[in-house]
Amino acid sequence: MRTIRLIARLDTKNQNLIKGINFEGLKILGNPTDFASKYYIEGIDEIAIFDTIASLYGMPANFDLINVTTKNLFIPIGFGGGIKTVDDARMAFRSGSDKIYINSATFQNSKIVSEIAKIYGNQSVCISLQVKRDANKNWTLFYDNGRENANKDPLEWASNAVNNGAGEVLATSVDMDGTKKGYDIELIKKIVDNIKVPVIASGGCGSSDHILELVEKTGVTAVSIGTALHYNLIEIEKIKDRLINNGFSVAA
Amino acid sequence: MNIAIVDYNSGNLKNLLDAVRYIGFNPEIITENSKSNNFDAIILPGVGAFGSAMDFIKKRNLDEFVIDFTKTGKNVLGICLGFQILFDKSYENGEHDGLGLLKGEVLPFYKKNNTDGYQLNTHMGWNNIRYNENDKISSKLFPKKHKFYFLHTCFASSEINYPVSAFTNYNDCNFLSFIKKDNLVGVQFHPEKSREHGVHLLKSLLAN
Repeated sequence: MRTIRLIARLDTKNQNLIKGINFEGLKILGNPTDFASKYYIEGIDEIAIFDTIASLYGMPANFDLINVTTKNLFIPIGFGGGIKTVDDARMAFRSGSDKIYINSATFQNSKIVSEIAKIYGNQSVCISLQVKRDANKNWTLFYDNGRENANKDPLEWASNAVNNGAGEVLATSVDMDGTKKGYDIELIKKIVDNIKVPVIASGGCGSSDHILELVEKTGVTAVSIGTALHYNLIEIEKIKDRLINNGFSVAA
Repeated sequence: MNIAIVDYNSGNLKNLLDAVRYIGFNPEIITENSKSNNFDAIILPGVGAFGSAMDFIKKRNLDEFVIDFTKTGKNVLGICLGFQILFDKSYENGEHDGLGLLKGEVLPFYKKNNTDGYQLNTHMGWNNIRYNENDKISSKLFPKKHKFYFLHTCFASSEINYPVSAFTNYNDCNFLSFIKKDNLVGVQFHPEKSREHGVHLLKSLLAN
């Protein structure tokens, strides 16, 4: 029986929780700490916090935010955004994250994944993929919060990262992100079928139907939920009940 | 209770510190050989790679500290990597000696991959703890409804049958997820990441 992890995704800018559509048109929703503790109490399995501007503007990541947000949340916390060096990763771990999401830096330094994994273990490094479809409907990889086209094949890039020591893959469909229209099932299936580390599906969740459809049609073991949680379109307990009723297992 | 958290330049200690404070104990991070009588229990925390952690431990004589502390009869708790380093040896990225306080070896999970032979496989997520029903200590510590959070790429295996121990299954691999041998306790999962029931378990493991 497959156990499904539910991950609340908190995109932040400065001290605020924000959310947009396709990574654009960002709206301020409130204090990320308040949202994180609400999701913890309601039974979320894991929290992912992203600093959406650090890479884009070449600024240091907002480590204070992790420090404050993670207090007394006894569940796994991941952090991403602006991690460029082993020192950045160290700061993220020291500030309360259990793993880091890394994307933009891999295009500048091909050794960064293996350097971090060597010290902190493979399980601490998650390669983050920001994927858009191009005019020919082919998937292509982006970085700097969906702004820059890396002109790489996501699957190949993920495979390389895993070979270099990444222990997990976060696959975000920028096209679906914030749309509430459902996950890019085809993309997630392709990555899950070809990568033998756990994959987190991200981008597009608007209802528990979307989650159920995704887990039934792909072998994915973790789903990221942003908009649907932030706007109260979905209840964590009800998602878990539905998963259980459909033959999946969930965290305690 | 004063709890020493042995820092071998590993990952996230902040949440462990939070958790230890949350259960009403007083944590202190130590990075070199320290006096045993300053502490009521020690924790070997859980994020990092085996080889790099052991190098640090040896360089700072922290191995002496842990071994001496174990002899005092006060509780020593290893979490995840901290559990693994209690064993004789690990094959995570090479071959590394551990502290040898538990008999056994630490091996990587591998899974057959369609394209390129073998690839690293991470056990990440919430899983069950299984034990012999006659093992009353494990039964009491791990109520059936509780799952715990795992995050690791290697697992401990022993030819010795530890009477107070538990197992967890991942990818058809049944690995040691808990051992209690006198005052030495190890868990492969992260109690400090396993919600309230995990934090309460942390308290039981440190205090009893």
